[in-house]
Amino acid sequence: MRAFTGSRIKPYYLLGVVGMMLAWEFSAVSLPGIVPRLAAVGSSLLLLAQTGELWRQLGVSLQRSLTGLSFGAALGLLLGTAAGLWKPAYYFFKPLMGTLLSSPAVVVVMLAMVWFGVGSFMPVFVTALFTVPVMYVSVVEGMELVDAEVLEMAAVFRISRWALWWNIYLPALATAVLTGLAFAAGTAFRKTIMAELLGSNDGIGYAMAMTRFNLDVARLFAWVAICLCVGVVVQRLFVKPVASYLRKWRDVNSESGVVHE
Amino acid sequence: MSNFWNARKVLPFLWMATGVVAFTVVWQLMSNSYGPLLVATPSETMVAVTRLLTSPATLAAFARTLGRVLLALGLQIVSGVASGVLAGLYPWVEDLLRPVIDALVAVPPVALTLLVILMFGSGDYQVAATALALGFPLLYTGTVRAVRSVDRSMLEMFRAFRLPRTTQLLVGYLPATLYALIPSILLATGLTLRLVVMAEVMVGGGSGIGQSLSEARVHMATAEIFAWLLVMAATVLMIEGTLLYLVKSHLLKWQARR
Amino acid sequence: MVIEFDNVSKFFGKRKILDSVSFRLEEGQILAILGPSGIGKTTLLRLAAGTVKPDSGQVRTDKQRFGFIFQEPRLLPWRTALANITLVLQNLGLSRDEQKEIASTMLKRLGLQGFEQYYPAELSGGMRQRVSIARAFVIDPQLALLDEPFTGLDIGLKISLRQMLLDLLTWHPCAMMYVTHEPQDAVLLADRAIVLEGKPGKIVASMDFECPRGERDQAYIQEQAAILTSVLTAKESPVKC
Repeated sequence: MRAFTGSRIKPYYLLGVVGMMLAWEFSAVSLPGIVPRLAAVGSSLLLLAQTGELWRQLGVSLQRSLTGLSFGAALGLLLGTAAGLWKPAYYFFKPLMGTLLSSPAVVVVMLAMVWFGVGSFMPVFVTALFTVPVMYVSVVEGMELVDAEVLEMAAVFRISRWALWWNIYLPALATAVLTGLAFAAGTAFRKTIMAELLGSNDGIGYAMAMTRFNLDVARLFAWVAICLCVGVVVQRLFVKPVASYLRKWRDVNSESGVVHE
Repeated sequence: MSNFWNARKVLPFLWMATGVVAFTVVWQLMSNSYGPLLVATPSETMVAVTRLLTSPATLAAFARTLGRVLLALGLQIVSGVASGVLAGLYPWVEDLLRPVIDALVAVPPVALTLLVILMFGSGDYQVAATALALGFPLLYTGTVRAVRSVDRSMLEMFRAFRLPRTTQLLVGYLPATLYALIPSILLATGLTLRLVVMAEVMVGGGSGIGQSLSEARVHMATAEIFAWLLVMAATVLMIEGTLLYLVKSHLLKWQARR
Repeated sequence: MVIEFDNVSKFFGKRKILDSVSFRLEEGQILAILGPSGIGKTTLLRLAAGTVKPDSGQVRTDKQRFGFIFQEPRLLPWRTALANITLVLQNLGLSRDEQKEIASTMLKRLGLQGFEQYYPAELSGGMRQRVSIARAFVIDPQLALLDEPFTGLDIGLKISLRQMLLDLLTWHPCAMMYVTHEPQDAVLLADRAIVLEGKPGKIVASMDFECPRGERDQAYIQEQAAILTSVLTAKESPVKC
């Protein structure tokens, strides 16, 4: 019955959280000057919120993520649908998508810096570029689930092309887009932060890079905590529900979003 | 019939080749219109690739990076499998570790890398530790899933024949888990390489591919950057291919005629 | 005495599966257990093997070696036929060579000579079940537990495997609990048959086959099987034979 630990209250989870906090506090006390105390991080966080810096940078980063996500997802959907419907297109795009999926984002960030300089466009470009394969893969896999047997059944019963689209392809596509968006949301935010950190003049990533020059570890921790919140919100709000919905009828790993740095 | 099979085997490669050619042409056109300084031509990039693969300095950088990747990957597997088996067997361990995993999954990798650099400085172990921390959740969750998927009827067999618990773990759980883990390990390989390169770039002044890349960016040597991109993609593909081949040549023995 | 069930009841959650089951199995005796599916026949075997414990009552046995043959072969896919058999020999304090020796003799006895190094996936369904039988008998069991081992195999295979099992019993005489839903099977193999019925499952009939196993002819088998069938179909009238 171990599989059914889904919904009950988990005391050990809370224990884990408390343990993490304690371990942190302990290392802060034993490594003074290296690991900041929880209280210091808390006050940094408070300061960021009070000065409005938090909301400003968060807004910038979120806006860039969303812009990149929309463009990337749209392109991924387009290419994915083509590849899902027409096998040659799938093979045509395979080398490109393979290269994109296996290339480190830093390298692309560097190229983008050479091309576009530091500014708002660079992070958006990088985000969009890396959202494309996530959406693409999701759509192609989703369309693959429309299996030959269903299509054969449709042919035998002479179901019209329109009905075929409405009843078979569109639902499959809708689910795939939902999955793709959920997984891409996490990717998009990470890429934006990375691009900002390496070459931008605002946004959360930039703010993090600044803490490096000021050697302000507490403030860096505060920013990391904010990123964590965004990440957890994305995971809980989008990825987990979608994955658990999908798991009812196919094998999905809710950590699929983790495979890109 | 044989014609049919040939067409099915050859056509995908033809289309893939068409894809490669088409993108090379687009690349060449872009390079023509933006100038080779911004977009190095494909031929320049190929020259750079051969330069990378023949110069001792870059080969050393490459080896350095691969060493770190292997170190991090090894540690990921050991720690991920060990904790994953425990969490798979005892749900309370999973609950206990959940916050740590949640945090590692949610944190942007650059942010964690920056934290490590700021707190512990930069070096071989710091790079490997970062990659370890960030790749760990993948193998851990993979192991938990694998352990959970171990066939209950198989366990009943072990109990019915009164075999000791160590046998059950070594002969039953371990192979079942390892075989189910192969996809996760393949994913982790590519991820770790990317993480290590990212950490190297951020550390700055270090060594490895990341350092070469940073230098290339400073000199605006796009050919070099493109070349590294290709080399890394090829490396990931090669490592994955070799692993997959090894696995399959062994697995095929008992997965034959399924 | 090999094993004794004394007023054994078993629950799965709140549902009662078995209700005060009692019987005794003597040395060398073969007991057939019949009844509709889902009645708790497999649970009875699990109780005997000790993999589940009774909720009330007692299962008494002083035996150590139990050979279990499951409905499906349950071989480890990553071990060869031979290695699947040596696996269960490691409790007996034998050397590695002795283990291999014994295991391959067993495989030979079941007509699997030359297939020692095959993986389960490379064997046919009947061959796999033979490996599973070999695995159960290789430990020279004091009690063999068989859970409908031949369901899902075709009729020819069923007959030849049944014969193989009978031959095996002359080499390795042991007590046996044999779950089946075919009366023919029961009469062919067993000394005694019990029938489980109802919700929760209870023993509603018990029947001894007095004619020794070797001397049962077609007429006897058919006659006894007919009686068993009538017990199985007429649920309301427990027949005591």
